[in-house]
Amino acid sequence: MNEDKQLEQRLRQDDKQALETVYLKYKDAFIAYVRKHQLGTSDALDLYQDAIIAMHQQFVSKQVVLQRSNLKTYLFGIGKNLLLKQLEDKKRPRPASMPPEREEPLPLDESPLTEEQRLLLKHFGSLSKSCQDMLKLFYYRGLSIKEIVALTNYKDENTVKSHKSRCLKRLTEFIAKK
Amino acid sequence: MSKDNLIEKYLSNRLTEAEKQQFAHWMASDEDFQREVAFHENLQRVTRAHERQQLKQRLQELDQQTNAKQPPARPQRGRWLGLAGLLLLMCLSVYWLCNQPSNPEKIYAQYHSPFPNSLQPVSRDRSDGSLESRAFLFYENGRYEQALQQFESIAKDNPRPDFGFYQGLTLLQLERFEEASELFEALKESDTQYRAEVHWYGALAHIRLGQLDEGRSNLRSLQQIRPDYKKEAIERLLNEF
Repeated sequence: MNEDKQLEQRLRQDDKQALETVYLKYKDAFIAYVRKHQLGTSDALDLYQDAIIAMHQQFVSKQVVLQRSNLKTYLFGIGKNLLLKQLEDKKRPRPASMPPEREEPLPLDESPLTEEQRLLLKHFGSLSKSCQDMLKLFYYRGLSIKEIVALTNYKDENTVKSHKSRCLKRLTEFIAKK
Repeated sequence: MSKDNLIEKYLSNRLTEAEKQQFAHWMASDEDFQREVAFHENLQRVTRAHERQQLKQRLQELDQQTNAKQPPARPQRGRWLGLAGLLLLMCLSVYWLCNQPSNPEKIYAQYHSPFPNSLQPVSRDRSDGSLESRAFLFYENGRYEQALQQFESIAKDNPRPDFGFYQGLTLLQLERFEEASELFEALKESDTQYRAEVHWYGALAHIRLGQLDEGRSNLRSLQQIRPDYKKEAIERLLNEF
């Protein structure tokens, strides 16, 4: 397996070290690329971070397996889509050298959070780390209870289920107390 | 199939055709079910947003670390880099102001990250079977209950501060904050290579218990003994409570 494929595999497993490796590997090239389109360095860096995160979330939540692209072209494709959206929002013309990217998906989370979701996010942030981790395994990574048992050190499915219900209960208690 | 199981399968896109029909039926006819599904969908969206915030913060910190390691830029470029840095710092400040934690649990969750094993290299194939190796094998695998048992035996047989530090970390992982903070307190003046870390994790344990004065005092001592250790994080943390 080549280095890129290994990194891709690790990204699907939510490996943050792999994410940092990819981030540093393509950072300079990406920033140079978007700066050609009149974006300042700090905007370019911000855009790059958004692109990297969107890419990572595609791997983790959707378990994307790259067929035609490699990591770099996939990442740059997402970045290009984000840049085009940003230019569109600022009502600036699309650069002629940059045709619309059709092969790569737009990142998740493009819609802003609703009021209800913002509140839920606030309370989620108040949960203990172990609860946040547990709920993320289930909701963010989309793992089944059985997969969570295999991946973590919880004794069995019942332990996972009861920890998860305790965390959900705490969350609903926070909401009720607001 | 129970409604909970059906929702679980729906969230991970694993419904069969028959289950999809059952799901649609309940969505059309059962308001409680609709509310339940909406809650879980919101939570799915929110966990993504939370993870996104954490990743963004992690990447910004990574940039700061790598920038600090790079040699100074040429003067002309330096001005622009300086401005970019200033902007980044301003963004970070705004980010931190907007995300100021409001309770100890949240502060703890934000600042605590597990500390890696740097004391006893563990080889899974060639474990020597000693208490120390077993303790770290469990620790590295996140089997903290078992790791704690080994660390307790080490403390009984041949107590050494460095191992005590990892025993404290294990207690933190098990959310036994009271015991962890007592252990870190006891280790503060000991001869350990992890003196700074003992203060840092001790401070976090106190903060998690709501003992903010003790937490602050640990952080201030840490600033004295190792001014460069987690400098920015400590300053930020001290401003949080």
